[in-house]
Amino acid sequence: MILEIQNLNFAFGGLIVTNGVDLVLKKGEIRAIIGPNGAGKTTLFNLISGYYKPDSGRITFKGEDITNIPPHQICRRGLARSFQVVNIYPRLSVFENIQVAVLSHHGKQADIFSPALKIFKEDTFQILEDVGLIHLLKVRGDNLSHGDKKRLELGIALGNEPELLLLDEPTAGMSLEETVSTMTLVKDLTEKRDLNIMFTEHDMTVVFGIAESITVLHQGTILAEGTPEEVRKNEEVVRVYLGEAI
Amino acid sequence: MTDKFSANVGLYLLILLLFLLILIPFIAPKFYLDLSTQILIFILFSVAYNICMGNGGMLSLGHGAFYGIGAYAFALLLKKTGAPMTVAFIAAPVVSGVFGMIIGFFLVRVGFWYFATLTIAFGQLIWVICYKWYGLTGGSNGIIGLPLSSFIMSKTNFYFLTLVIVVTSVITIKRIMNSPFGIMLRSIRDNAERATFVGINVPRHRQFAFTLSSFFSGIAGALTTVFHRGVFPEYVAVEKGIEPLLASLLGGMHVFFGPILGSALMLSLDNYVTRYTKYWQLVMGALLLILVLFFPDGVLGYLKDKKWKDMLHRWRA
Repeated sequence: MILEIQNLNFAFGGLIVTNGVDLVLKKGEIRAIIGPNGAGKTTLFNLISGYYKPDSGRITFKGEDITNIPPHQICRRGLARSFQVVNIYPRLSVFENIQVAVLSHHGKQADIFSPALKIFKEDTFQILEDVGLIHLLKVRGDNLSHGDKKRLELGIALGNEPELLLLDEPTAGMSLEETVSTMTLVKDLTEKRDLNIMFTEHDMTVVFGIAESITVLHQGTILAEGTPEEVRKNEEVVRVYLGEAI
Repeated sequence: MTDKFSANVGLYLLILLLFLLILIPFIAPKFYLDLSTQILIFILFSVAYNICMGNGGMLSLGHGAFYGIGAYAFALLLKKTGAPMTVAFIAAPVVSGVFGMIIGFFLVRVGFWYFATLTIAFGQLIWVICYKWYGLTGGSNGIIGLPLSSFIMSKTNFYFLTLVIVVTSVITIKRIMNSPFGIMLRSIRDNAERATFVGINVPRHRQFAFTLSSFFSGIAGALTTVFHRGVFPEYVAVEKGIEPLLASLLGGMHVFFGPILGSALMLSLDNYVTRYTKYWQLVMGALLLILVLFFPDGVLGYLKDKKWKDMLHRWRA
């Protein structure tokens, strides 16, 4: 078991966004979190990664309680995330964007004397190759296309060599081809790098294509959970979310 | 031109520049020796300032405080404790750095504009102490009559001392900005949220950058004290803290050598323009206006982005 969430509650003022969520992620699992807009998917990610502090409940990662520790420390324990809105370093080059994460992962925060260009070059190149951005390594982050920016984000998250990766709508705003290639990439990486992945997604083809298990959130609570087959057949899920589409 | 030569052209230019700087006392009239000394000190202040601004994305409007603390610490140590000059000179930037570390602790946790506002507040606080506390700081009269050695009173000797200290400091800062710490600092500037989620302790990183910046500003302050043979409350004023910001904007704050070029341009212009008109600030104001509107990345930033090539291309077509 890599991640365990017990009775997690969180509210913005009077608005309850996460209501008694229980979730267990087994090692090696690819889990999709789906649900209508406002179901609390991103909030759940923000709670797990330490961006918000839960009102009550407990989050355990690799057997350690991470409920109340600051986000940068959660990250250092091997839990990385990407964001729904593109979240990169616009003025840094593609290479630097990823190298920052690699350097941080190796605890180089306080290193003020080694020339950064010469260290952890190989690790950074490896990730650039994995996410298919090696030919763009000198380009500034903000000059990339949208699809490449999303791939770069994935690369930044990989820089921390995470064991668990939270991807918040990794294909949002992508064209069909970009979506397919990105999700193939995610799937490959999972096997290659021994990753556990939890992702939110609105594109049901993507969800049913790669997820091994699915959790359906609705108004902050878990409506259903199970294999893609079970979720697809769940009448309640079909009524509130999937509708007639599937 | 071979590839190797063009790759190192920047380095050759720097060596040439350094060579010229060494020649100045032997060839230039005294006036230019003074001007060069002032430019060197200002360069250090601007480069130190730009650790915060260009690299850290922290707009400090109160950096005069750290420059001033370095200056006052140096003068007070000499005058009140009778410390040897070398000791006072080493201690002064440390005092600046400690102030930077303490003040930085309160500053780095707030957003961009609150940060800028608070730096003014802290700057004013330090200024008031220097301006009003006659018993310690001599108030508006400042501190003069420092027991400086005759070696350092020689303008040529002081020029060379300044050259060595400034060049060493600038190289050190450049190295730090190219280190993992430096890259992470720029990543925080670009996107603090993302930096947090790759495991960087953003407030602590910023605080350390602010401390470094204060430390090197303090060296510049102590050098100025020797140059003017005293300290005055103007060193601590908010106006003083704006000068390196202007130099950084002028030269380009996202290029390491931007503030260096900006400082040299600013002081040279100041000297040149004041010969013809009293309204030097008017010229500087107009210059800044043009700069911000048309060259927001500064002179070097503009050249580096090669936008001028596009322009040339369009013009020819």
